[in-house]
Amino acid sequence: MQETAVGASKKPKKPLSHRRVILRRLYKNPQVIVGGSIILMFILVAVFASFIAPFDPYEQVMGRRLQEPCSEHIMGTDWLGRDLFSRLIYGTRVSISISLSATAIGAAAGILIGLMSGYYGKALDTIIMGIINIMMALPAIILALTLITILGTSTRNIIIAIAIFAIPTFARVTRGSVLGVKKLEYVDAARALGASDARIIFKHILPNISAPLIIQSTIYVASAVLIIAALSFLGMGVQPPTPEWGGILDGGREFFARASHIMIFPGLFILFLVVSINLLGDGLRDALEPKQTK
Amino acid sequence: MTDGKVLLEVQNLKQYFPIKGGILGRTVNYVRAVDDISFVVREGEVLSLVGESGCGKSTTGRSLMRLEKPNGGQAFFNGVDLFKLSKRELRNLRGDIQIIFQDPYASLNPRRTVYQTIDEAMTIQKIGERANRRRDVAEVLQAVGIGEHQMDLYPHQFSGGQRQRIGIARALSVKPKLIICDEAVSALDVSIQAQVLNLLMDLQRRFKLTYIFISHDLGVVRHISDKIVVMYLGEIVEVSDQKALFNTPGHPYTYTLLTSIPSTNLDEKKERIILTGDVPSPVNPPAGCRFHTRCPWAYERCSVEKPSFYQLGDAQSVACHLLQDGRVDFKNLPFENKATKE
Repeated sequence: MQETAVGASKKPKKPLSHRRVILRRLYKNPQVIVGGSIILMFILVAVFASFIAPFDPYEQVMGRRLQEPCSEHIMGTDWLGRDLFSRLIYGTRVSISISLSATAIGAAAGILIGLMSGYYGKALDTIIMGIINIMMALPAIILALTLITILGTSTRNIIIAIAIFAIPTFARVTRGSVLGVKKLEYVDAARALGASDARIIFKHILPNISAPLIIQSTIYVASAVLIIAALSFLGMGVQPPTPEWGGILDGGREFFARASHIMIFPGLFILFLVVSINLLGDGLRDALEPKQTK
Repeated sequence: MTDGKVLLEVQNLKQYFPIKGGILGRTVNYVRAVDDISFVVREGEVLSLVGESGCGKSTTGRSLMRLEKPNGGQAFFNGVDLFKLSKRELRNLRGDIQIIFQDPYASLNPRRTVYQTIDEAMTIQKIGERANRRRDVAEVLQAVGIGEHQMDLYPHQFSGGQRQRIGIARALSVKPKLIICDEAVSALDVSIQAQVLNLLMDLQRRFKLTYIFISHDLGVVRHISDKIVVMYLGEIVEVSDQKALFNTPGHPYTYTLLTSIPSTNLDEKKERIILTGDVPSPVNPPAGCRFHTRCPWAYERCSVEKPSFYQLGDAQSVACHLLQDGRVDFKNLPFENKATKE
């Protein structure tokens, strides 16, 4: 928008709405552009995996095992002669769908718990935060491993395990923000009008604490991608023959000296996705909470 | 003005806030924010609560709004005890008593347009028909000087004064009888203050409202009040008509407060009394008269015995031993304490 001298323009400019200000900050940030386009690419790859993959990811050809990248197999083949590129493409689908759904479920549960804890306070808050602190003391991967050992390995249980691990972080972030917002006078005004607790929580508090929650969700998707890969790497995650980055990485260990590409390419996929999600998360933080940066 | 029907009668209101301590978070003590106060508000009058920060005037307003849970006392609104209502009864009655807040930047939800804010108020209190809502909202906004074309804007698109007007419109939209103005103009520029004050007085006449006006600014209070309640450290020290209070302040605290109002008359030599020391802690308020630690004229009786109310004329009632002991002209007495004249 051009700068206009005072009084030069007769027509008063309509001030930018909150949403437009944020969008402007977003698309002016190179982190968001780079991170966002890589993520978009990954999502497109996941959706159109069956069109992009040159080979069937499950088809084993014993005659072409452990091939180096060549013109036919651009990322080579694995220990069973399957096309690595095709497997990684299908693996994108697994990583993205599990990480997104687990984050969505975990975030929803965590936010709800945090809202209750922060809004009602007192004994409820003490009990909830006690449990949350105990959960936070356990390392992510140990907690996930324990849960999967109890529940058994399946895609559904992996989602549950990762979602449960998301709850404490989200509950904490939400509770902290609720404590800040619930003291504000517009919340008192709503109470003075006779608004119900549900109305106050969902119409007055939640919309005003959405910024940190959006940022937290983005960052958690990145950790979810890592946990999924780590679980498969340890053999507790998505089971073979389903193509999954961590699983491919694990299988390639044995052949690293002869066919290092089996480990390098899935590693790069994980790296790119996680880094780009974090870039987007940082960009979102800059746009949504400008006061807290620098 | 003071012969109207009693609208609100507050009796022995107590509002304590617990202080938690120790490992188990037990309540170790209380902040006695409002300690046993009683007053009467009549229909159509403006009653001001004045006092310095921390004296409990805002807390009184919040307790009456039931934004806090009072620890004791009754408040009869049209004969109904506000503190004994069930959740549903309270919700129905909330339309009759509304509040206007101090900070126009915190009192409006930044994510909701002006229309949404006022529509919500009317929906909760079931005011008017849904079909006529836009017209009704426009009408209320017009009463406070906000145009219909600004209805779909967000709070950040308004100035502080305009936001305060929107806050007033929200309170007004549910057709209340009593409005508690909690430092409603304190956060505004002086020029805007006058506008908003005039608007409030205008609305009072138009809609036959009753105000409890909470303020620390005696200039503003003088302009708007019919009756004034002076509070110090959680207690009432003086209840008086506006005229009587400013002409013949009864309580030493009121008197020292009045001498602190800046004068616009350069020729007039005004004597200011500067009190020494801080307001004592409301956790352990002083025994006897709570003002005795800072009162320039305090004597032995003040630190021992709590003064009861003394009727001074027919419009003034003062809690002070000086008056009861016949020293109504305390202003001319020498200081017993370290306060200074300027």
